[in-house]
Amino acid sequence: MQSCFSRRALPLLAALLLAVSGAAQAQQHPSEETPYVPSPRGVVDAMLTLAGVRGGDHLIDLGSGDGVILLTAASRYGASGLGVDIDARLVKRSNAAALAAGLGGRVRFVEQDLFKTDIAPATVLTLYLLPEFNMALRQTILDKLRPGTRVVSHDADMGDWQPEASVEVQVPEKTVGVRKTSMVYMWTVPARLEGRWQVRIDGGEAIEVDLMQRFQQVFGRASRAGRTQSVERGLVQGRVVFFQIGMGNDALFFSGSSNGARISGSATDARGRVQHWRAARPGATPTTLSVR
Amino acid sequence: MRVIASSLLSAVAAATVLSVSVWAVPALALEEVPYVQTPDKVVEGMLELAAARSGDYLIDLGSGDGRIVITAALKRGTRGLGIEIDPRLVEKSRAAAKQLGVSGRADFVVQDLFETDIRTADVLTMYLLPDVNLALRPRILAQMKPGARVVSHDWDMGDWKPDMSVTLAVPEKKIGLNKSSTLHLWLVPARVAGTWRTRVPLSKGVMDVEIDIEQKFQELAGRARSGDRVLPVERGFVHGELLFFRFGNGADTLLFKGRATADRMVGRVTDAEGREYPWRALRKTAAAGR
Repeated sequence: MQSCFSRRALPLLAALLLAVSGAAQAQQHPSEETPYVPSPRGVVDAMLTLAGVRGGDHLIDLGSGDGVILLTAASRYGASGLGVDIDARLVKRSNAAALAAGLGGRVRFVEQDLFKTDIAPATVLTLYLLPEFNMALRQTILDKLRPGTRVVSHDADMGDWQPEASVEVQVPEKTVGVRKTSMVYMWTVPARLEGRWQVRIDGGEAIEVDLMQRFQQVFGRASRAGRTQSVERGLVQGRVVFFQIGMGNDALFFSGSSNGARISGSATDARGRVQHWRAARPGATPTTLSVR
Repeated sequence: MRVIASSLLSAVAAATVLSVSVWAVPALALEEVPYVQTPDKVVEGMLELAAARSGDYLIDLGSGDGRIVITAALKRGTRGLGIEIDPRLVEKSRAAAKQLGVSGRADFVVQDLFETDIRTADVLTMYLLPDVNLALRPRILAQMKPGARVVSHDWDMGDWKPDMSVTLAVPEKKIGLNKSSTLHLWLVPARVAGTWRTRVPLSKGVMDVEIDIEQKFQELAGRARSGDRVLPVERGFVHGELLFFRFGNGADTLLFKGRATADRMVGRVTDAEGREYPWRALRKTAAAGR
């Protein structure tokens, strides 16, 4: 993720990019409107650590620049990856570096518009883009990536989608910005749980639950033996789900996992009895997570 | 119900509701003790909120004419003890329990409620005053069994927020401007502050973790340490004996739920893939304070 990326479709971005990259003039690629700012080594390490990259992971790096993130992920952790950059020379250089390091079979780099890239195969998505680009990608990330996919971003956040973790990295050699530090943010793509669910607890209650979702928060109402109770403490972290229905001696605590179409796990009542539960949608599974 | 704690009281209007003949005890203007009977509807509401059931031992602080302990024994099969400072009310309560055939399960003693041993109670009912509730709070938190239910009529416990509250319309209520009663329920939270040791599964193997837990009533916070990694404990809370918390991010996310005793937590942990594993933790040190 070495280059802050620009879309060919957005020529006016040039002005925008120049506005934030004043200090990066020396580093900027001489051609086009693409400011190319290499990721410092400490930031690369922080991104891979925060994402928890390991063997078996498939990274997609949007704005792959000189390819250092994928090359590091492949050589150090045994991950595979696809790097996307709009600068043909950086792509060529990255592929050459991969070959030279004997990683040509695991990582490859392509010259492509990042908005046209199919990101669905990623288990980890790495970004070093301008905030506007993160925000423009956000809905695609929420809709296309599998629940549980980790997203890490250097410096730019995702607006009101709060990161699950963040770390500040000291970068004395940083060439952009006033502060000589970088922020690395991490999110886990939440399962899309919005909508109506029919919950069945083994040997027990049937409950109808209407969930609303805002990123990793879920809330809503449950209809339980004719009574309406609120859904409290709702959390979706990747595929992992937790919520509470009812209060006091009536409380039920649900934990489980979901791919968006079904949920299953174990439910604990206020007396500590644990029972298996599962939930299915009476209707169609939504394909998008509405962001209000 | 009866407000005792004479030293703490100014004055509250005394009132009597004579709804059941055996409890037809006129409010005796004993010194500065205000005696306000609990309407039957409120008695039922308190027992319902406490989920009082057969096998429970109920203690009623300020038992007045004894109706809570007697009703619980009659309708819910509990055993109970009423604490009352007025000997005449204790006499009447005993007589009523005998007449209704529950004297074996509804006992009454003359006692200062601050001297009462509340450790054995599964259910504690109170119709006192706010500062009396607050004065009792440290003993409730430190001594009562985790998961025990505490129900208070009208008064809360300051910054220890109730786990549940209900408001009942009580047109016959003799005190206050609002002809309603608010009932609060607290589940005595497990005392989990301190350092715990556990071993948890991760996709890359098991991890030995030390968890420092800070507790404020039902809410938990803290840190999980493994080697040189330190992760914040998030979304932590206790619900009576039950506890819930999570730490870790992304593929290393772990969601814990279990039951806590004084030196052990036993439960299940859910990993990022949704797999559940049995899990337990052992106490290393207790916290200095609560």
